[in-house]
Amino acid sequence: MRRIGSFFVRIFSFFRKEFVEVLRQPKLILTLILGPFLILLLFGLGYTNQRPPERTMFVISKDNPFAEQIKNKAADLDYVIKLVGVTDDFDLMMRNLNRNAIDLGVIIPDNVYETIRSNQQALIETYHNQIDPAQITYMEYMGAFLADVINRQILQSVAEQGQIEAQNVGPLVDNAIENTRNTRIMLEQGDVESAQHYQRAVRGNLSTLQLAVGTSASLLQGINQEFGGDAGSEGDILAKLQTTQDNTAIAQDFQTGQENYDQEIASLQEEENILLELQTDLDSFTSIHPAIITRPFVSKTKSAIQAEVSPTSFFIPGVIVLLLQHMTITLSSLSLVRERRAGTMELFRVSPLKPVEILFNKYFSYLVIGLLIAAILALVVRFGLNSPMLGSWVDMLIVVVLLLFASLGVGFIISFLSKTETQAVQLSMIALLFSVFFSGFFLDLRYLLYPVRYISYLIPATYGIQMLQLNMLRGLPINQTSMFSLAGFGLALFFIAWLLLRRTMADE
Amino acid sequence: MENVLMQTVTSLTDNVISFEGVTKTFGEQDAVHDLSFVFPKGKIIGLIGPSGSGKTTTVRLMTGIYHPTEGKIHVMGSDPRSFTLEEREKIGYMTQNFVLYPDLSVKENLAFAGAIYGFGFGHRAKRIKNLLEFVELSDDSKKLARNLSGGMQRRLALAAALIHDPDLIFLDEPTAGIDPILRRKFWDHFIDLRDQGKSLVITTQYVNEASYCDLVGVMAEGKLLFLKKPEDLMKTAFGGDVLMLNTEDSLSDTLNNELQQLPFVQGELTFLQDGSLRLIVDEAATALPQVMEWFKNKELALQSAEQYFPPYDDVFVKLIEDYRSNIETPAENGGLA
Repeated sequence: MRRIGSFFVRIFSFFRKEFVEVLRQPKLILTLILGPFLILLLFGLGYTNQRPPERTMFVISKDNPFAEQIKNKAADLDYVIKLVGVTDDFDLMMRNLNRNAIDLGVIIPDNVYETIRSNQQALIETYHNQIDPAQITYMEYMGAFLADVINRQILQSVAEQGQIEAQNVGPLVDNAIENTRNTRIMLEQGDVESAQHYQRAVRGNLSTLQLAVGTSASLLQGINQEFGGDAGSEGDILAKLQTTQDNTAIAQDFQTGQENYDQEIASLQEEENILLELQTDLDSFTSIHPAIITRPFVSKTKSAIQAEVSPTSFFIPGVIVLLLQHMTITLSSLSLVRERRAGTMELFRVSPLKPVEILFNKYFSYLVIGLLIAAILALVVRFGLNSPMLGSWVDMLIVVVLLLFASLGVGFIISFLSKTETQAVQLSMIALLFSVFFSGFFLDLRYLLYPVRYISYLIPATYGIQMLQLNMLRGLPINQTSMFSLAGFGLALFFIAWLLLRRTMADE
Repeated sequence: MENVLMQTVTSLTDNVISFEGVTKTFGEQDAVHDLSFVFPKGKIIGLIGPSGSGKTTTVRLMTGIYHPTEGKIHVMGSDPRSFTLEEREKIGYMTQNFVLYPDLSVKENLAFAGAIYGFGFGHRAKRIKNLLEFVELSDDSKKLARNLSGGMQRRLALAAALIHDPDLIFLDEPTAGIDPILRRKFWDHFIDLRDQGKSLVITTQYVNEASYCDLVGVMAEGKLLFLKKPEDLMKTAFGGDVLMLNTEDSLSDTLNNELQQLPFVQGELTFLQDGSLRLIVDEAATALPQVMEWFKNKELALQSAEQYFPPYDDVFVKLIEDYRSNIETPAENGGLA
């Protein structure tokens, strides 16, 4: 019973000692916690995540028919490019690029139509002055994007032309309908001669239509086929035209002296209906905006996550994890180095404290200190920075406890590798640097190749960031694999730290 | 005392510490070499010696911080390497350097030291109060340890070593940097502790403090040259008790020779610059009356005659010088190497 009492007395005393020592080192707290937190705050306030438009200069010869269109289109693209100028001087553009007056130079080729007619694609070249690989990739994307915009512009012109043609054939369809109707009426009245007159007029109307409808009919038919429309109905203008021409009531002359013309009259009624459908199709086609014809699909991406995750919010779980890991590693690594260098370890060796008890007490002390700091951090980011917290606070507590537990192991092992406090701080900084690159804080771990990626799984922050992001930003429960991995990792580190402390205290 | 090692073999229970041929080597260097001795229970044993003589290493071997390269050590009947928790709780240890926490206050340091031994708040509060009074730090109990003077830090460390009322106390230079008045107070307290049945092993560079010890071990170059009662050390250093005589007239060579031939007189007579005569005798108590009788018989005027107690500094210096000059060897003078 006395032993149990002593156990708790020691735990409390260790905690009190470590806590008071930490509190009495305000510079340390400032460096470890407040400093990084202020950096985060500054980053959150200053970072917009909106890329400024690229300062762009077009190089295009004066007699190029696209020159005016390019200027107009550039104005529409002001969300991605800022038109600095249009010139026909390639060298001027390059000078501007080299002195960083512009970000992008776009060369529009001459003789575009001739190139296309010769069954070749016209090449749009883009020049940039970036050295950052990510920026280079963006510039390559920008080049492809501008080519796509110009391609769409050309397609849109074609579509507009087709619509104009379709509008022109409208009166021809009206005439064909009128003449077909008159043909039918004459036959119904038994006036075969007049019917024959109107029949010839319909044939003439249909032949003219066949020629006139050309571009627009092909375009509309192409759209229908490409996007899975009903080729047998409104889109199939050419087929309908052919049907009307092939109708026997139109194609064959009426014979006089027949007993009745019921069959021909029915065929003419059918012909009239088809022509009316054709009229409707053409009306529909001309009513579609050319931009919709050339860009029938637009996309809108929506997040399945309940909260809106700003760039700052996204990084907050990672920052919390890195701060806690770094603080814990630094404090624990310094703690044992100090005990050793100050000589208090000598007192411990004579005292009834066992190595495992010293380590347990230290773990407990720094775990509680870490939890206090984590609580403050969590409250500040939740209510100060309005960071989303979609998950459970209990899950967050579990993640933080496991993270601190594993980080303490790293810190204590560092303390055994360090002879001086300076060495301990340096190794702690290296651990932080490692974590920034390999924990998934900045870079998605999928970009890391094996076996390098294995390094990531030796860093407590890797698990911590994964679990805390899931919890805070997605509201999902703790990933069991990550949780047990981190707990196992922490236990392994505790065991190693215990062995090292035991060896240190055993003999000199 | 002459055969302390044998006592170890025959009566371990009466001895608190025993060393048998203990050597501790660091690298190629022997920090202590072939130490064999026993320390009796309930005594103050002082270890004196020049810096680097192996005093601290010997204490560390006793506490189990160091393990011997050769030889056997028993402390409270156990090998220090396998001390039980109960045995460790009986040990108090004050290191040579200040090893408490500079960012904790005096009181917080003592509270932590007490807690290590499982003392709850209630139990240790009164103990801390008494110890603070003893080391005269009551008024400074809230001061951070880093803001204390060197002497105050030593006092704090001493209080921390005694916080759990240990039975066996190792104090490595507890009075270094302490003013003479407080130093005296410390020794009074050590004697009190001894009288309560506790055993104390105390290293010191203040050689005069040897007089407070029950046994004094003189160390040099990793060896224990002597382990004796303080008064016996004087005899060892000078070859016997010292009598100091002042005569009105100087003695003739014949009388000098005659005096030297007396059976209780050891070695040569020494005439000091102030005219006094130093005489080494077997036992001052028996020799002094006989010397006075001899002067009376010779009708020589004797102004004063008394036993002289040389300062322990002189004793220590003499012992070390003699050792270094290889004049004496441990086997010849009864010391235990």
